[in-house]
Amino acid sequence: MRSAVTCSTRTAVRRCCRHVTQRGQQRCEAHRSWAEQIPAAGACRSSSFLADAVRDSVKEALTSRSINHIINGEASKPASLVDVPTLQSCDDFVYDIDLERQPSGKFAAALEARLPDPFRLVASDMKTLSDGCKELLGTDHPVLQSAAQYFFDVDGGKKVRPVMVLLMSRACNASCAPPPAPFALACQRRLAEITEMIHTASLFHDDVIDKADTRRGAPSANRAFGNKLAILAGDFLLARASVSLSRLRSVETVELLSTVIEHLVKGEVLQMRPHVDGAGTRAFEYYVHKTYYKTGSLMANSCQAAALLGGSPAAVQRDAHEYGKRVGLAFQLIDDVLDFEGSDASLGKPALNDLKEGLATAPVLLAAEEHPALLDMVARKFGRDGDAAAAHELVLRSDGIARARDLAIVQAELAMDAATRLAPSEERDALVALAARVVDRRR
Amino acid sequence: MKTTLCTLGACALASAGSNEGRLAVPQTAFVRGAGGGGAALLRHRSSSSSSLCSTRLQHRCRSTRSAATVRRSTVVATLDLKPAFSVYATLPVGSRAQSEEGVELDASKPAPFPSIDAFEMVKEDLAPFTDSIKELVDTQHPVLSMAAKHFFERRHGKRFRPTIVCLMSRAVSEQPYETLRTSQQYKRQGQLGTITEMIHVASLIHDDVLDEAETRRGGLAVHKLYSNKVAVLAGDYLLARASVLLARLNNVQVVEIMATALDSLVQGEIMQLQSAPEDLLDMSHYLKKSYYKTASLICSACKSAALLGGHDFDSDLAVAAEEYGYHMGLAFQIVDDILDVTAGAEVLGKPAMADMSLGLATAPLLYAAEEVKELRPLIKRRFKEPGDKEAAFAYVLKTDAIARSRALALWHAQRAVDAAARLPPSPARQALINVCHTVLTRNK
Repeated sequence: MRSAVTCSTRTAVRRCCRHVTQRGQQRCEAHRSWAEQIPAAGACRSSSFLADAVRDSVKEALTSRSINHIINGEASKPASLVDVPTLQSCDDFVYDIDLERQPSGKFAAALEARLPDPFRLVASDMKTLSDGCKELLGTDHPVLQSAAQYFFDVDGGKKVRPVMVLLMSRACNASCAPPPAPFALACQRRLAEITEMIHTASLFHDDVIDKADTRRGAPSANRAFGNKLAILAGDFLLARASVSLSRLRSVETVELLSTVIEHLVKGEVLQMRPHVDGAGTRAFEYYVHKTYYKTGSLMANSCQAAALLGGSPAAVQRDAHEYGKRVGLAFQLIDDVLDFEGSDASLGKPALNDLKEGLATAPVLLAAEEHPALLDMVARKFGRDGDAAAAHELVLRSDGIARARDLAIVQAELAMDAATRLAPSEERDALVALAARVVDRRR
Repeated sequence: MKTTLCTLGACALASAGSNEGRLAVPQTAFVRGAGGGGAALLRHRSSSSSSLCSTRLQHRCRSTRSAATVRRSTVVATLDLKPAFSVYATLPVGSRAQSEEGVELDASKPAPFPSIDAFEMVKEDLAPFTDSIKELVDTQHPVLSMAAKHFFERRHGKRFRPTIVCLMSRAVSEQPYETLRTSQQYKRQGQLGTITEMIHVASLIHDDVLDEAETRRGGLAVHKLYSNKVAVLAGDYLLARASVLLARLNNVQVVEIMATALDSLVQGEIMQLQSAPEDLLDMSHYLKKSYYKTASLICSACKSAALLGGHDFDSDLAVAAEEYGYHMGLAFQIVDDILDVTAGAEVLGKPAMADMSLGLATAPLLYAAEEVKELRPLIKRRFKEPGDKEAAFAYVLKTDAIARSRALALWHAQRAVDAAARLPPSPARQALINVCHTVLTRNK
C-alpha cells in the first residue's frame, strides 16, 4: 500500500489495518478476497464474448442520426396496451445509513487496482451526447433554442450521470441473453441524453430559485437570459425530455423517470421547509431523505431504467438502482465536504455556500454531536451574524468532516458491492472505478 | 386506396428525407389519407407497399415481463406530431362542408340544446379532491399552499378544461353513461382532466415569475422575490405531479401528446414575450400563438381522451375530437381577446386592455391595422409610448374590427360544432355543442 493515496484513503487503510490487530484477520480477509475479484488491467477485455458482441454492435449502430432512425422507425410498429404493475414507490424506502459503519478497505483497494477509466470507455458516445441533446431541443424560435441549448453549448459539467447510464447499460447488457436488439441499445443511448436533459432542467430552475450568478464557470442561465426565460427553458427541456421518454415505448421507464422529476421537486420543497426540530438522528435522516430526492433519485432510477431497457431481470435492475442510489449519496456527501474544505472550483478556499444559505449539511450535522452549540445555529439557519464563521470553526475542530468522508466511502463501497454483483465486464469494473472517483475528487 | 396511400407515402418520404435524423417535432410530415380517416404512414420501411393494416406485435426486447396481460394491439402511426394548426385551417377558406346535423351556431340566439347544461352534467364526475390535490390543500407548506390556491382559484369556478375532457370522454365512448362511469377507462379519462388542469395552472404560475429588472423598476419589496421562489417551485410541483399521473395512465402515446402540449405552452409564452416587430402585425402569427397558448392543450386533451377511450390515433373519432378541441380552443382565445378590448367599457367607461399593457396585438387590433395604417407603428412598438393604448382603442372602434373578430370566432366555433357532429349522437355531444355556444356568448 505504498503508492500515493489521498489523505482520506490513508485513513481508511489505517482503519482497516487497525481492525486487523484489534479483531484478528477478519477484515483484511474480506479486503484481500475482494481485491482478488478485481482482475488485473487488460484481463477483462475479453471476459465475456457477449460483452464483446454487444460492444461491437454498439460501435456500428450508434451515431445520433441512427438513434433517431431506429427510435422513430420503431414508433411505426404496433404498440400494445398492457397492464403494468406499478413500480414500488420510493416514499417508503429506508435509506439504511449506519453511522457506525467503517470503511472496509474496498475503496482503498479500488484506488489501488488498475481499473478501466470510466470516462474514457464511453468517450465516443459522450462526444455525440451534447449534440444529440441539442438536436432534441430544436425549435423554430431562436431565443428559446439558444436558452434551452445553453448548457449544452458551454461544455462544462462533469457529466457523471450520462456516463453512469452508458456504463450501466453496457454492463447490464453483458449479462443479457439474448443480447438486446438495436432498438434497446438506441433507447439506452437516448436515456443517457434524457437524463442529462432532466438534470439540466433542474439546474435552470434551481439557479433561479437560488439567484445564482454562475454555473459551471459561466454565467448562469438566469443571468444570461433573465428569470422568465430560464424558467421557460427549463419547462421546455422537461417537455422535450418527456416526449423523448415516451418514444422509448416503455411504460415502466416513463414511470421511473417521471418519479425522478417529482423527487427533484420534493427535494427542493423539503429544503425550503422550516427547520425540522430535533437534534441528531432526525435531522440527519431528513438530510439523507432530501439528498436522495435531490441527487440520488435521478442516478438510481436512470440506472434502473438502463437495465430495464436492456431487458435485464429484476435482480439486475435492483442492483443497478442500488448502485445509483449509493453513488448519489456519496456524491452529495463529498460535495458537502468540499464546500467546507475547499475545492478546485473555489481555488482551494472553503466556499461555505451551504452555511451562507442556511443549509445544514452532513459535516455540520455530524459535528453537532460533539458540539451541541451547533444545533442552535442550525435551528436559526445560521441567521445571526458570525454564525457561519463560528460554525465553520466548530466543524473544523470536530471530526465532522472526517466522518462525512468516511460515510461517503462506505456508500461508495456499497455501490461497488452492487456493481460487482453484475456479470463481469470491462464496464462493470469501470463502474467500480467511477464510484471510487466520485469520492476521490477535488471538484 | 392502397396506391393512393403509397403515393402519398412516397411523397412524404421524399419531403421527409431532408428531415431525416432530426427529431424536431413540428417538421416531419403526417399525411392524412385521401379517403378520410387518415393513413398510417410507415416512414422507415424499405417497401412502402408492405401491408398497412397488419398488426404486428411490438418487437419485444425485454426478456422478463411479469404479469403483463396484453390487452390490445393497435397500429400506431408515427407520432411525429405536427402541430394541429398546420393540419387544420386557421382562417376561413371557402365554404364549409355541410354536416348532417346542421347545427348552426348563432351568438344572438339561445343555446342549440337548451335542456342540456354542460357543467351540471359533469359536476359529480369532477371529483373535488383527488389524492394529489388533497395533499396540496391539507398542508401548511407555503409552496404547496400556493399551488393549491392557484389550482382552485378560477374565474367561474367551473373548471373548464376538465369539463371538456369529461364530456369528450363520454362522447367518444360506445357505452352509455351508466355503464361507462364505473369503468377503469373512465377513471383514467378523469385523471386526464386533472392532469390537463395541472399543466394549465402550472403554466399560469410560471408566467408569474418576475424578472429581476421588473421587480427593481417596480420597486417591489424583497418578499416579492421570495414569491418568485415559491412560484417556480409551485409550478414545478404541479408539473411533476402531472408527469407521474400521466405515466400511470399506462399509455405512451398519451404521454407524448400531453408532453407536446406542455412544449407548445412554453413556445406560446415565448412567442408572446419575444417576437419580431413584423410578426406582431401578422394575423397567422397571432393565430399560431393562440394555438400554442390555449388551443394546443385543449386539443391534445381531447385527442388523449379519445385514445384512452380505446380509439386509434388515426380513427375518425380521434381526429374529430382533436378538431373539436382545436377550433373550440381558438374560438375561446379569440373571444377572450375581444372581451379584453370591449368588456367593462359599458361599466367602467373604458376597457381593461390588459393585453395591450403586455404589448400584445390581438385579433381586433390586427383587423383594425389592416385598414388603419397609423395603428401599425403602435403595434410594432408594443404600445410602449404613453397614449398609445387609448389611440389604438379609438382606431379599433372606428373600424369594424370587432365585428370581424366575432365573425372569426364564430367561424371557428362552427367548425368545432361540425367536428362534434362527427361523434356518435349522445347527450354529451349536445353538451359539447352547447359549450361552443357558451364560449361565443360569454361576457366574462
